Amino acid sequence: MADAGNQPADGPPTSRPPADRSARAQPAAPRADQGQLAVLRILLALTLLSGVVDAVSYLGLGRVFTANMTGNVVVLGFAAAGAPGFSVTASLTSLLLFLAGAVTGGRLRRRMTGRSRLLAIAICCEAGFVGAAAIVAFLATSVASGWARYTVIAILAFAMGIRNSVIRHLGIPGRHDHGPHPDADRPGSRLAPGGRSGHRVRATHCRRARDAGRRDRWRGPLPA
Amino acid sequence: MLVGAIGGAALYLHKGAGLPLAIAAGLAAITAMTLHFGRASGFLAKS
Repeated sequence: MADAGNQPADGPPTSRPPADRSARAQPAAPRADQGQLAVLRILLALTLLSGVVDAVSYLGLGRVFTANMTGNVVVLGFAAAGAPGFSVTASLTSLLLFLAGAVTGGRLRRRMTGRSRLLAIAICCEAGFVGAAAIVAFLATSVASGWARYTVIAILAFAMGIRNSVIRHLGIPGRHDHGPHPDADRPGSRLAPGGRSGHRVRATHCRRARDAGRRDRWRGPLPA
Repeated sequence: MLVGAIGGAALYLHKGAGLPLAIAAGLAAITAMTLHFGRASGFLAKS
């Protein structure tokens, strides 16, 4: 008989030694680590991108932020107080388009099911909008004033609003793609249908972690 | 973010607003493709 040597002599034929189970369970851990590392790299790339966009918008678009809304509120205060070199109109344009982008991101995430897919689509949208802003900046003679300035501000702020809303929806504790206060996009997120505030997102994660018997925060790759 | 701000500022001061924004768009596109193929390969699919 060919299988006679493979079956244990004194045990049931269906039982397996514990070593086989541990050997099967081992590849899952590296895959989770690689997924976590990939998410971290993606968020770091987005943070780097925010720095580039903010540097260009502040230096080239006339002292206005398009990604860092906390700084933009401060700039708006400077402009409202009459400080030279600051523009109320540009800051308000950035704020309003960021808000519109956050609402759009909230509506987008309501229609999407998978979080990875949602993030991929949001980043694709962002790439398209930032690319469009780059084309406008290339075509215009100057982005420091005129229609090109407000067009680039609007496009960039809208793209950053979408991205910030989607990143916030991922609910990764302590990780935000932008430097500002994590509640910067809260109005847009809550205005969107089905939008949840940050407190509710954190509370959901804490409750899930507690239910799972884990005390640590969420560390795995993007859950679906 | 600081690194991005330094790089973006240096690029803007030398090349204008178009080039750093184009680089940012390319970076976003690469990030999206990384996410897409990472998800397709199973690393980012589900926990």
